[in-house]
Amino acid sequence: MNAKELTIKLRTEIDNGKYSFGQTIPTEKELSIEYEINRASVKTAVDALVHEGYLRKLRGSGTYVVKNTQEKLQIKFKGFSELLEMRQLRPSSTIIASEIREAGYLVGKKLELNSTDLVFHILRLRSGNNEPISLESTYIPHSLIKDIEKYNFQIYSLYSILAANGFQIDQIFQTVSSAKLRGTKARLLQVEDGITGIHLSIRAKTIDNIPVELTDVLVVSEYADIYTKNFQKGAETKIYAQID
Amino acid sequence: MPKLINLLAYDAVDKILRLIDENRFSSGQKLPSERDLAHRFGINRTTLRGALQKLVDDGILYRYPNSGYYLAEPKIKKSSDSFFLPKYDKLLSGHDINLYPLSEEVIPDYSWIEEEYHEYHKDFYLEKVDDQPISFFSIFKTDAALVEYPTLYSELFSDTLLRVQTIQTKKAPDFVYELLNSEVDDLLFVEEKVLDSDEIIAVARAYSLGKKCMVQVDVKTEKKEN
Repeated sequence: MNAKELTIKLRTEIDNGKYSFGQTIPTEKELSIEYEINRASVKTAVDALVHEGYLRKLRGSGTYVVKNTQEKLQIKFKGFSELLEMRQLRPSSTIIASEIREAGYLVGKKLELNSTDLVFHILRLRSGNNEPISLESTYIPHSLIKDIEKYNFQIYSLYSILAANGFQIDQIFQTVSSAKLRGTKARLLQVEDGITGIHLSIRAKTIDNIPVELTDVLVVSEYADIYTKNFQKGAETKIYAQID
Repeated sequence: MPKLINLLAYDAVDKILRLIDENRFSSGQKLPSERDLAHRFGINRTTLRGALQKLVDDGILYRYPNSGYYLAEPKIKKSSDSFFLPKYDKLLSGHDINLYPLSEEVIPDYSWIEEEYHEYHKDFYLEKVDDQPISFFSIFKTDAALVEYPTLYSELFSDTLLRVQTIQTKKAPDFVYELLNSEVDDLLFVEEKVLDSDEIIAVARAYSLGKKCMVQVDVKTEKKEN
């Protein structure tokens, strides 16, 4: 087998669901043994599929299937990384904590759940050129997506995971207010305690009106426009993440 | 998993908000004492104080020293698409809205306005909702805009104009704090640029009291092309 044939084989196996969205494929070493071809050819085959948007590599972690068979459900939304790159900033993201917990009163209300219903909660620090930009706290009803905590959030955007699981986001509600950054939050964002930043509360609902996501963002003021910039023409409003 | 998440006092804030809602506290009503709350929730005073401070910062509670914490008036919600036209804002229906034009005498100087806007036609307003100062608006228009779009910022926008809006926080010039009757602090800063075929014809800016209002930006999504 040569590299080209391996590319076709792997692509077929991904399309058939042998390796599905969310999973990793075998390592290049494992593939070279299984198909009895040299490592260089395996690398060529894998790189071709990375280029086609089927796979993404994460050093120290593996090669993940990112091809989304439900791609048509994915909304036209730029991820945070893309937005930063457009501003010539190198994006990076650190997962501060993730957990499965009871929704509690406030989150329960916003996601239309009982306070004792379980949610998946992930807290991320987003940076540009290694400078902290925002803290994002995301809550997803745990009942919506089986094993959501198993996805590698360094690879998969929330919206791609939702789309892959059949959820089509139709409306996004954002509330923007000012907020004082104190204590742990100020420390994580590396700003002076008590400085004012912007707080966004973002809720997403599907076309069937099911709330699927709540994200609370705290962003330092200099970079607030990344999240808040919006474009209005006539009756339509688009946010920065939707503009080409 | 580390209990860092609990350091962020989500739980304590949650308990206080639940108490307020379930007991139907009304604005101006005093909360139970710190000792009562700490005991009731089974949390220590430090954690509780952190949560109460956060709610004061967010404008949900206010504090009278030596007296306690009280529930503040709910924040006013303004729509992002009628931010500078509060009379047309559906979220503000049911509130008493007034936009007071300010004469140039109220503005001490133009040093706080950039060079490029000095030649623009300038209007200044104080926005009051339910008789409370909320925002200071500055609206700058080109001469061409005055002629071609005479109802700009007095009536709803025409479909041909694109508005680009950003929201951040900023320290305002001193006179703004007097106008808004507010202590000196960073204010919510909303800036909107109006474009007619790629040319800026107007700029609207607001310094708003973040403790009194918030902005609602709602979007409908588009699917990726197949």
